[in-house]
Amino acid sequence: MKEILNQNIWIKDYKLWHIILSLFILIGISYYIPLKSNSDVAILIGVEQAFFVILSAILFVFHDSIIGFKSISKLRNDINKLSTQIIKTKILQYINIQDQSANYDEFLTTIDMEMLEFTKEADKFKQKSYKLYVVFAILGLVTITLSLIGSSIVIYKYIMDFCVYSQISLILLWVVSAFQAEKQKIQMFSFVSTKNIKKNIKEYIDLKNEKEIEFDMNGEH
Amino acid sequence: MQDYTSSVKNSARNNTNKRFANSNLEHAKLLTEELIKSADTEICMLTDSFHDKFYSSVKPTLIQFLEKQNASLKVIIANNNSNVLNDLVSKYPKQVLKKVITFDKLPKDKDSDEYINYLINDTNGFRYEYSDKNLNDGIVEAIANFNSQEERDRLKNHFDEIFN
Repeated sequence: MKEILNQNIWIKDYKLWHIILSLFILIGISYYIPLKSNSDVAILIGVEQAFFVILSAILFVFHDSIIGFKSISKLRNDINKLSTQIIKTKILQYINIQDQSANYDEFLTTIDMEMLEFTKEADKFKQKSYKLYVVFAILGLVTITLSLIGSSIVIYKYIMDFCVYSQISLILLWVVSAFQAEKQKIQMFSFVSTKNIKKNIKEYIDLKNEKEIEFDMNGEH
Repeated sequence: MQDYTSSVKNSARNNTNKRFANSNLEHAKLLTEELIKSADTEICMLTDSFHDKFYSSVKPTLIQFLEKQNASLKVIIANNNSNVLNDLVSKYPKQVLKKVITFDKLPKDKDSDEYINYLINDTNGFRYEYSDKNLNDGIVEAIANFNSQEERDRLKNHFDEIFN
């Protein structure tokens, strides 16, 4: 389960250099590939922003539903079921290790701890999604304001282009992150599914029972 | 996890040869305390640092053990900044013996390539911790047994090599 949780989701697992690099690229694109328009810029920007607002709202709601309260409580329920005596006895019988009840419990404890981490990460994911929504809206407001002031001023044109390109990048980031989070959620459910849990429990217990005390002392085992 | 606790206590009481997986700090404390309680007169520990937060909760059990006649606690430690250990040394100078070594002398587990920590008692019990990289999340990787002479002797021989 640790491997599943360690997977990166772009919207929350980024580094400062990612932001700096993206800003440089966006500034470069805005400068070298200016957006052109023969029609009235204010109307065009208005329509584009209206479309973006609807799209971002859909994405924001979509993000909230991916790893929301329902998903987490369903996962918790699945894990809680595994700790009931009936299920535990059945699973231990099925994998033929009836005497490993304590290690079965220990495995579930690790899953519990990882669920806590997953819940924390899910909260972080939603917070970041909200922040992205705010940044997206600010970029939109700047674009509309500048288009109303007048697009004949060159620097305004660059800033507008920068804002629009940034919004397009954010939508891309949003969509990719949604898929990454959805994939992570599916893998989490799969990990605790009836089909896989027996295998995962057996693997954990076998690994612990077969673990040998072997250490390296100044390069010698 | 009631079953885990009762199973560990039962194994400690009956000195059974049964291996316990240990993946969280709460159970690390349980196993450590039960190994101390089931010791007759000697406990040996090798640790990179005698974590104050962890051992302050185990301290009452250690004191109870040190109050026994002829009880001795031997510790090999790399990071000598533990208040709990230094306090025990000052209170029981004849019983608590420590040896400070440098980190490069600490052994690393073959699988995890991390510094190992272990505790052994004189009734064939041991707890061998081979990963604590996720310690801040309360996760460790360890195994324990209350009666495995072969594994305990292996660790004891290693301990004596460094300590003596």
